[in-house]
Amino acid sequence: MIGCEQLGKRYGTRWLFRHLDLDLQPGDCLLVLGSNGAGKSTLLKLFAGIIPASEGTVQRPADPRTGIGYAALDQSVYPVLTVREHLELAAELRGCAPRADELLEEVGLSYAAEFPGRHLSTGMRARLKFALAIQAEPPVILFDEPGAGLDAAGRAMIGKVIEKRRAKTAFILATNDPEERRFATHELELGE
Amino acid sequence: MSSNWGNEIRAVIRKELCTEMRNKSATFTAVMLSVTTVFTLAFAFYGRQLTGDGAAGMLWAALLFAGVGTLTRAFIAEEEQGTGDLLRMWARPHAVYWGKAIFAFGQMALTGFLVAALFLLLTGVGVATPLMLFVSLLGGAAALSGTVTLVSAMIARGSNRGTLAGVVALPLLLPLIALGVTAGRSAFEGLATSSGWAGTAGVWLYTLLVFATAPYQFAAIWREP
Amino acid sequence: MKWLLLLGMIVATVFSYQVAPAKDFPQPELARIIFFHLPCAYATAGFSIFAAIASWRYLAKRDWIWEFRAHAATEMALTLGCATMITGILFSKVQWGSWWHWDARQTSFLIVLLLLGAYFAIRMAFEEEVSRARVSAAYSSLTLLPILFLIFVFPKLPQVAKNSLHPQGVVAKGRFSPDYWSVILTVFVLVLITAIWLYKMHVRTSVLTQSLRDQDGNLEDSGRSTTARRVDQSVSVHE
Repeated sequence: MIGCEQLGKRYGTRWLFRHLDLDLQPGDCLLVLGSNGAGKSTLLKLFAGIIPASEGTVQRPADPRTGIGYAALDQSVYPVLTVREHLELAAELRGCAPRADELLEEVGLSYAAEFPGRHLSTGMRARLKFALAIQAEPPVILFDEPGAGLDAAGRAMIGKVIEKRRAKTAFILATNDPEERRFATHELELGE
Repeated sequence: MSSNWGNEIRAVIRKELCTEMRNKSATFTAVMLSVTTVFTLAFAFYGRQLTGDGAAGMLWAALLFAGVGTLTRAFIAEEEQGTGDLLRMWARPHAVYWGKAIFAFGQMALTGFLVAALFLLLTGVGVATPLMLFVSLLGGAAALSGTVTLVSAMIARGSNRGTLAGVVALPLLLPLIALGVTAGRSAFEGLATSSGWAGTAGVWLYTLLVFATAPYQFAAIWREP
Repeated sequence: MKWLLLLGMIVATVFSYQVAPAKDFPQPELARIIFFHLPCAYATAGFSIFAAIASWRYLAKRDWIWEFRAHAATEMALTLGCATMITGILFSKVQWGSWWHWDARQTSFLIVLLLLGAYFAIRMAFEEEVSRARVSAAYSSLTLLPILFLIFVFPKLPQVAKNSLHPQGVVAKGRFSPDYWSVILTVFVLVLITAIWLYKMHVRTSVLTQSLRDQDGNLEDSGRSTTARRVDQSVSVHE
């Protein structure tokens, strides 16, 4: 489903990680742990195909549009598009149904459907990014710091999103939040 | 190209159009840049008799600077506002390239004709063969949009991208300008029409070659397969 | 190798003063700079085209050797291009009276140099090596058509060629004496051997640097300290 062989990434002469082999199947939830700068977000970007690896290969679903859902802290949203328009645009590009009302209800953002991106708070943006990540019900979901910027209700929502899809989805979560360990079937620690 | 490709490309164009319409600042700045460029060039030649050669050179220089100044924003804006990764995850590379390039062509065609109209108004240069000027400018707008869209994607994640855009795009476009000036000279003077049409054909050939290769180069740098 | 090349260049330089001057120039005696100008121009064209093709191969195969080849070839093309430009400017001053004429060949060659220079501007803008390699390869492959146009088509366009100061068809029409030609060809071979030698050293250095980085991960530390930290950090997977 998603995995890597001998994966490594370096910036300049500094390797963030190397010789990484992984193979995740539906039902697996890999928690990527590590201090700041250890390479957690970079690893998720490599799996998402957003940045290239320095060595090794990544096996990911053939069509990343519907095969991978990705939500990250450093992603933003279009300032002039409304929440609903984001979901409609993504659906059109992915070739799937927008499911805007259903998804916004699931992430608790129904009331903000017509808000433009620039009027969203950090937490609201995070919820929209989750909705976008799960829109096509992809077999692989990558969440980078999923709890960051969210209130207690938001964190509970993340739990529900993951639990609902666990059986048919492989999750990779990059986090420093000990609370999120409860989802993990595997843990990967990057660092010294 | 299947209907899915068509839908995806249309979705990218619609997104660009929507962003442009709702953010008046970008459109207004682009128009101001075009007007200022033409005015500056026309002012520099104030009181002098412009030959067909000089007029064609000035017009294409104005188009080049207006185009590079406006169109390099295509991907730089995505990276600056942090939405580049959304597009990488949602759309196939060819759809993104074609959507952005077609939108840029619309923008550049409008800018080009605005620049040309202003230029003719300010300098008082007459056009002997308007059709040749129109066809060559249209081809130039297409080639500029195809090239600058790719350059914008190339440099969007680099450092010093504002300056780098000019350094990378201008030399790539200079051969196009040489062909465009040949066509423009003939269109203004009404002389050497065969070489003028050859220049126009050259502009369109350049356009064809850009669009034949650029989508593949774009796919190689945009995201991992 | 380098001593042989130096000796060859000295012999060629001495020989270049023995041949009778070409008659087609205002200052025939001072036209001998062509012996270096023409070979450098041909070699620039060759390396530029090879660099663009190597970049295509890198994008298609994702094999680092093609990135090293493209980088080294572009570096050689720019170096030889600068030599061509300098010798051309000197020639222009001596034969035509001013340093720069906006002559078609001068101008198109300057654009080629700008295209090559932009390649290095792109490389400097990307710190991360894979992105740097990809983007510079995409750019370099894009330059293939403009370079071919600027070197082989533009200067020969009838409306451009008729206004050019460059002696049209001197080479094609064989208006140089056989002795003149023999010096040009000798210098061309010497320039080409030197350039290929430097190019190969560059490629080899790149390969070695890459393999050193792959082995110990930190080239800068490994040379100066026995406590150099291995950066292939521990990665543990707990079930």
